[in-house]
Amino acid sequence: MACTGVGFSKNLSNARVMRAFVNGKDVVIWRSRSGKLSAWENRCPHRGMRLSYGFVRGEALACMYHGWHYGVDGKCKYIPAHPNLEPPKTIQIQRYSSCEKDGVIWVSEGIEANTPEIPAGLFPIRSMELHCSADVLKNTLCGLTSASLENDQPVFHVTDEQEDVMYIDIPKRKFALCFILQNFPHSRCFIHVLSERECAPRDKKWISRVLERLRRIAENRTGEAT
Amino acid sequence: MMNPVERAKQDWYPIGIVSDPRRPKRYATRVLGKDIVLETKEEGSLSVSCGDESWEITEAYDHIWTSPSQNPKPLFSIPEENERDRRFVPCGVVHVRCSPLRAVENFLDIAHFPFVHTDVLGSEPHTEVAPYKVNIDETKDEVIATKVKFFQPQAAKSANEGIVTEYIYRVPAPMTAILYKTCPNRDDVLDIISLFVQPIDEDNCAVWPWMALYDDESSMADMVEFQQLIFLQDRNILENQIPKRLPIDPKMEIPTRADLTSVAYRRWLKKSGALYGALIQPAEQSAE
Repeated sequence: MACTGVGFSKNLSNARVMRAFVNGKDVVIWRSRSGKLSAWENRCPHRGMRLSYGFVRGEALACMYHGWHYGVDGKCKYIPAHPNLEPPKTIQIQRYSSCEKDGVIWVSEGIEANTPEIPAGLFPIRSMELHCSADVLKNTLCGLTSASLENDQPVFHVTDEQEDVMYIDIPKRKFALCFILQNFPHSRCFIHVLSERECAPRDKKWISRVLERLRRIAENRTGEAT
Repeated sequence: MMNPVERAKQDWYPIGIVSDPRRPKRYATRVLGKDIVLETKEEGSLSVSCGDESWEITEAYDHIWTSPSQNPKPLFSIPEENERDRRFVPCGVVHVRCSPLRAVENFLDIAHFPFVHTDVLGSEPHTEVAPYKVNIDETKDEVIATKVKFFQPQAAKSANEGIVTEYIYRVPAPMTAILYKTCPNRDDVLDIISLFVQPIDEDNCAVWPWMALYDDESSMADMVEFQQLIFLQDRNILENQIPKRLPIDPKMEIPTRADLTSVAYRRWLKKSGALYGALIQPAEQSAE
């Protein structure tokens, strides 16, 4: 099963919680106080509340609704309404496998860990949310290869294109970028941008500017389609 | 068993506040997935229409109620409405993207107070829910929970310090819940807070809280604001529960002893076929 790149390690600090979608499934990703990463079905089995609204207490994720604590093994450890009760072992959340490689968090369905299929040694630059589907974004990128994003000059070429990873060469600036696309429901997606080399601040600024223009073009296309 | 829509049509639903000066002459809203219009005539009389049909209408507890049935069940009774030294407070309306039954169930729940209404209706470490009693009153056909006790830092607008509040809950109709709670100012009476729920459709509702309190000091605006704050905190939960509809199959959500009222409520809904807004099939089957 393919993995989904859901974000950068640096953007999920210890004791923090985030939400992602993996193959269309709602997923909560969180890091314990000591730094252990977990990815689970985003639903508390008690009353169905999304766990991504929850909060981290030590090595457990607590649901926002009734404060039920779940340990990194996905098992319920504590029910505040009954402090002296040992929670039944059957109360357990479905886990996804997660791993981190070169600063990217990868999640896949099932318990067996998968390794992502991108080259090693890339440098995370930034993530951005777009109000268009990953498909629209991808088509936009491919269509722009020979079109202009800056000063009416072609600035990049899509050199390789997989299901949700694209490689882009920027000859003028002498570096290549890797775009990890992550689809969300309701015509939304995330793009996680990595560079093949460490970027100078002015390169990062340039990337941000180009991404903003890309965003505008892709989001306008979504508007035209509807 | 009657189908859920036919069963739901037998009840009354709130659609407005009687004394609301801002309601337009023709006020359009939805009940049970139908577009309806509440018309206020020059002389003040009210009528509800749904296309060519005219729906039943009545006024009670400061609210305007309607029913699609020509012969609806009698509206539930709150005898304390005759105690004229109470303050009667309609609190306006809050729209929520959830099943009307989820909204009622949340209202019956106390274990969430320390986490959702932090430092107002509950606070850590006072999280324990002591045993309480739940019955079905067969003659009235109501769910009743009694001896529900919980420590509350600020039980009402009028409370100055934390108190152990005692609650009694009544569910007299599938989309109505009434609670009686310790009055912070007096120990011989109970304050009343009700939740009247308008089912827009099975996945959307409008909630009309109504209070009947012994509170001579707080202004009307402060009391309404207090209740609105509480309910907006609940809305954040209600719009993030999956599935949106209330699961009736006990395997889908795991209750504990603190959820006795909710368990009784779900069973009572199932037994009486009041399943408008309920999820009857397991989610896996309906979602995929």
